[in-house]
Amino acid sequence: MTPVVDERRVRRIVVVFGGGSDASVAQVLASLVPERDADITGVFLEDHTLFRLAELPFTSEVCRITTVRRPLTARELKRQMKVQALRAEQALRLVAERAGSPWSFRTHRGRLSTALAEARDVDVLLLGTSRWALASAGEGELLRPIAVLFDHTDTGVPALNAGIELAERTGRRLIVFSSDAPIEVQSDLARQLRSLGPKRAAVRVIQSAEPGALLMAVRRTAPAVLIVGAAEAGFEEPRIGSLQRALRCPIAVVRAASPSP
Amino acid sequence: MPKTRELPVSALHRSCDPQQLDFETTSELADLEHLVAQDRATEAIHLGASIAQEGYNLFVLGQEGTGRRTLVKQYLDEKARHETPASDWCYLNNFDESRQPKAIELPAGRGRELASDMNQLIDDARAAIPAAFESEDYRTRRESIQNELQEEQEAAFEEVSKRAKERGIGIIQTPTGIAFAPIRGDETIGPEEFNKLPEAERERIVRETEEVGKELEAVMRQAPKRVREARRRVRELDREVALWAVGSLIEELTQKYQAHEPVVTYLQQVSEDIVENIGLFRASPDERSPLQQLFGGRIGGEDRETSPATQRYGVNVLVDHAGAEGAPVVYEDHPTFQQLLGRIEHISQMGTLVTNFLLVKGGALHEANGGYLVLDARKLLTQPFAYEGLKRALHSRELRIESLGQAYSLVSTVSLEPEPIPLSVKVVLIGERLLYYLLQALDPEFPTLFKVAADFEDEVDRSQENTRLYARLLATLARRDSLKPLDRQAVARIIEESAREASDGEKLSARIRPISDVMREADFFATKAGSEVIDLGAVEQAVESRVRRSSRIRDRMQEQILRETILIDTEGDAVGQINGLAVLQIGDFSFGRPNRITARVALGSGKVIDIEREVELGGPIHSKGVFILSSYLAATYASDQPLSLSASLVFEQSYSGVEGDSASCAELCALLSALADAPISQSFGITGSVNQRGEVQAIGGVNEKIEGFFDICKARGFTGSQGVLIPAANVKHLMLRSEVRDAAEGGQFHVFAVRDVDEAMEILTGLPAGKAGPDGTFPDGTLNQRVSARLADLAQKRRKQRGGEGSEGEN
Repeated sequence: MTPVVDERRVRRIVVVFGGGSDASVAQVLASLVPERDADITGVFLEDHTLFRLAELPFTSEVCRITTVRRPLTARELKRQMKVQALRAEQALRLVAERAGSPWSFRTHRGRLSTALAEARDVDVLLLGTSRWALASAGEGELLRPIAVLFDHTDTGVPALNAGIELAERTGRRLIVFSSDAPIEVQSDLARQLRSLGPKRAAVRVIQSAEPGALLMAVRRTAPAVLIVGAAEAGFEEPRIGSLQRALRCPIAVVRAASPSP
Repeated sequence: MPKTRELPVSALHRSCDPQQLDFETTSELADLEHLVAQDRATEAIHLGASIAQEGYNLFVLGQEGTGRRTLVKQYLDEKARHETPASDWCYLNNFDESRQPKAIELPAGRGRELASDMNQLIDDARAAIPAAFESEDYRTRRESIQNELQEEQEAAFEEVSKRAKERGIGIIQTPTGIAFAPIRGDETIGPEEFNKLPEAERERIVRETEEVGKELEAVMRQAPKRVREARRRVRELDREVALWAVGSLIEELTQKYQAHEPVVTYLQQVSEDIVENIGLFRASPDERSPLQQLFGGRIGGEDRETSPATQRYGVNVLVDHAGAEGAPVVYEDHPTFQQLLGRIEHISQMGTLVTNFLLVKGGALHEANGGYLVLDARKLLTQPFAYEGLKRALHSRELRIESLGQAYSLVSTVSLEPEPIPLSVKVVLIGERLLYYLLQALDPEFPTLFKVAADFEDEVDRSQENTRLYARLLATLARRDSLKPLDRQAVARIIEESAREASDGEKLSARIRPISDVMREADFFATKAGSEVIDLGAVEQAVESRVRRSSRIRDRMQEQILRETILIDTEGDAVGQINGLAVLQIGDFSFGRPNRITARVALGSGKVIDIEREVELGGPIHSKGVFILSSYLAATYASDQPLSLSASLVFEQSYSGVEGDSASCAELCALLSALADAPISQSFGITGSVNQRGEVQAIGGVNEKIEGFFDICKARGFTGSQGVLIPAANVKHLMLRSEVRDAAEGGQFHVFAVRDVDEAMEILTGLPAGKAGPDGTFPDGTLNQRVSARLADLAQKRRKQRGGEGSEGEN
């Protein structure tokens, strides 16, 4: 039987909130679902490490706005989390209603891995930045490009397609990162990117022995979102988690369309 | 009846002989370039218009329709044609204080050019600036700045994180800030685990946590500074790019307007301002908020006029003299405060009234600045605050545009205060004499601002020369109004009508309008008759038609007399009763009517009672006339004895006010008739005022008065003895209509000119008046002797009466 590629648009999206950049996540989500046919599930992750930390008697936090240090209590943290979750739900509802998409929202206390386990069957997983990654101020938000991590495998193609579509829709530049692409793949990539117009897309091939070099290059471009392809098995936690910790932008993990039964 | 005072027919009308006119029709005559015999006014206009000093504005005074406006227009248009065109004035945005737009002066026509150039600049900048900011180079440089900032920030955080990790402290984001806690691997240490640690370790962790906190605080405090610095660099970059985008456009205009320093300065400011307000050019019109779209009025793309860039850098051409040949001459027919001095308009924007420098509108004074402004004085004075505004502008010699509310401090709403514009204008007010004299008397500022009065004659001498010029005037009017030419009989008739309009056979009326109206109507009748020219018949028809249209009230009054509702005798005799002649004016139509005046005499204390005055129907001049005749009586007949009569005078069947002294001669005649018991012939009407010496003086409306009595006599049928007595001084004013002349010619109607009361009484009573002898007595059988005797009798009776009263008193 010849597999038929399902060309339907994205149907199931899980968005994981609760990181350090929920507003950016909502923006990326809005760009991803401009039309109907998406079923959106929002998950607010209440990081268990934060609660452990808040229970220590000497824990304090520095306010991001005023830079004033103050004690952090579990009670205070819980209240803040609740507000953050509510805001995330509102942002999600706004995007979903505007697109006319069905949506749901829930809070999950625990680790990212457990949240990902529940999102095994979705088409797109959208993650905010990790709480462990210290992001800088959001200057020049509009200028930030879309980044795609392209590994010239089957999982890289849907990521590239999603990146091209998102760049077209948002008018942002597209930068495709590749670690070891052969020449023919590079020219094929360049050909595909030409459809975006002159100087609207670039391919950056990072050929370094250093394992973190590719991620460092992505980090330097400060993208609005990084799009990666999902592994065949789904969204494995170690890879996603390490990406999330290393980068300071939302990550969209795109899975290849399922073949028809 | 003494015939010596009767006027010959030739004296009743001063005809214009067509044979003396040396043309067949007015088409042969050249246009008249100036008004007939208005030299005094013309000289004044020339003088006033030519003196440039302050206050030499003109007031052109005279009767309506005398050609004041035409003369002023002709002269000013001609004079202005040879003068330098006035400057254009523009209002520009004041970038330092937008409430006070700047005014700049440019040579005629260049204001419009500058506006067009600035619009072009805006259009070009709209294309050039977004293109520059969308360029790859710009994006790269800006991204580079952003990345640098990001890298600095992250490096700083990274450094803190790294050092913290070395000390076993992890840094983690909370919903509102950044917290730090002991870690083991990638996990934070919980309270149970922490409490199990040795005390020294616990103390170390607390200490280290405290230090990491301090370091983090320090790093975070640096963050805003770095962000500010990055923003500053982005702004610098924006300025640089914007300057590059508009620099050449501005430079081009600066070269073009290098001779106009204010424009060059303005362009420099524009350049600097554009750089500071790049957003005006970068924002797409489609980016307007839904609220703006809802309330802003226009949905969809904004046009050039409403774009924020135009609202900031556009040019408001307040005064545009492009294509002008000579100085401006402005005629403002609706001189309101705002029409004269300009106004600041507002537009509704999202439910609020807003304004800007582009909504400043000039007035007639702005238009006329550098030239002449002609205004109707009455219209100016009837518009609230307009005259005051004009005076203020002329005094200050500058034009300040402000609302009435601002000018009189009635409102304190923040509005524009445009920079005042220097004013140099010659104002010409055209108005009636009364207005001029009232302003002279009541407004101390008026003489200092309107130093030159051009007084138009109401009438001109009917000389040979003026008659010839008048014919040319008629020719000019006919051509101007596209009327048929007039033949010389028609011209002669109109000249006679003009003399009649002037109420003087030796004068011509300077009021052109009534005459031109007659010409237009005559043209209509000529056309109707299929004539190629306006002939005598057409003019006669026009004159009769005008009279007929206006004479309804006259006809009704005459009808009441003929039906004897109003009692007027036109034959027979009566003692103490006479036909006085009055003139009434209704609208622009005057007509005469007879009025019965009666006098009764009795013994009394020497008073002549004016019944009109007693009931407050007599005006002061009428009362004066009655006092004068009392004085005449006393001086003429009772100089050596007390005037011991009680006489009463009344205008019979008069129910409205009586004014003027033109009936005083009639009243005296009625009184003398009553005293002498000498009947007066009711075939006569009489008019004239009398002085203390008994001389009969000139009065107004003599033609109408004669014709009023004539109409009644004619309607009743002439008896052959009817006529009118007029003062000899009025003979020169006679311009009676043809049927009166015809009746006089046929001996049916008589017009007598009298010099004094004696002459009048001789005609009225048929008795000789009698001259006083050296002893003051009058010959027997004369009228005056009878008056004198009656007064002496009354005086004697009075004395007796007083003597009786005295005896009684002594008893």
